[in-house]
Amino acid sequence: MNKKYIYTLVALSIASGLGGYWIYNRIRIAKLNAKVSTLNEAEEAIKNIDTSDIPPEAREPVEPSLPMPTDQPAQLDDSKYIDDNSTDEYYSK
Amino acid sequence: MSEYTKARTKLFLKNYGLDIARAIQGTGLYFAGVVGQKCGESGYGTSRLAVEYNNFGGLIYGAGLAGAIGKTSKGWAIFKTPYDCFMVYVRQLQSPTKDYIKSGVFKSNSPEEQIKNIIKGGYCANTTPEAYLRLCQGAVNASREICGLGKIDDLQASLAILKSTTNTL
Repeated sequence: MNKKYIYTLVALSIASGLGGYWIYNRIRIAKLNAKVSTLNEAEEAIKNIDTSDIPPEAREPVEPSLPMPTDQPAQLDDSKYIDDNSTDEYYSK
Repeated sequence: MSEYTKARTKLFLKNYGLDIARAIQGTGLYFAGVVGQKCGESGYGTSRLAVEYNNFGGLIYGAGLAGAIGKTSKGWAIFKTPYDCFMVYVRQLQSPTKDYIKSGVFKSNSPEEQIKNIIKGGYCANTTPEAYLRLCQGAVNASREICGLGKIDDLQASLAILKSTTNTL
C-alpha cells in the first residue's frame, strides 16, 4: 500500500517535471520565433560563434540530406530586379 | 538534436550565416528556417556544389538567372558568391509567378510552418512537407539555439534609404 503510494508520487513528480520542462521549452521557442533581429545583432551573434571546439569529424564533407528542389528559379524574370546590396554587377541590371 | 548536427550547423553559421541574414533582411523569412534548409541542401556547406561553385541548393542554370556567372558541365549554376545564391533563393520565393506567396510562406508563424509552406508552394515535388521538415529540423533547432535570431528586420535598408534621401536634399 505504502509502496504503491510512493511509486505513484514519484511517477507524478516525474510527469509534472517533464511537463513543466516541455511547457518552458515551448514558451522559449515561441519567444525565439517571434523575435525580430537587426542585421547588426545578426553580425554580432555570428561573430561570437566559437568554432574552436568543433571536432575534426564534423568538418568532413557530407552528402546533402534534403532532396534537391524540383522547382527551379531558372525561368525567373530578373529584368526588373535591382539589389542595392549586391556584391557585383550581376544584380545591377 | 545531436552534438554532431549542432557542430556542423555552428560551422555553417560561422561561414555563411551573415550572407543569409543579409539576403533575407526585411523579407519575412525566418533565419533559422533558411539556415536549416540550406544546411540540408548543401551538406552543411560541404558539398562540392557549395564549396566549388557557391551553389547551395542544387540550382540549375538558366539564361537570365541573375547572380549566376555560368554553369558546370552537368548544368548546375555557378555563383560568384554564396550571397548571390541565397538571393536567388529569396527571389524565387518572392516571385509573383510562383505559388509561395499563395501558400502562406510569408504569413507563417514559425520557421517550421514556413518550411512546410515552401514545400506546399511547390519547391520540391518528391516529398511531403512533414517529411521534408523532419530532414532539416535538427539544423533549424541548432540554428535557433546557437544564434537566437528570428526574422531579420529591414532597419538597415530603411537607414540606407533615409541616408540617400538626406543626401539628395
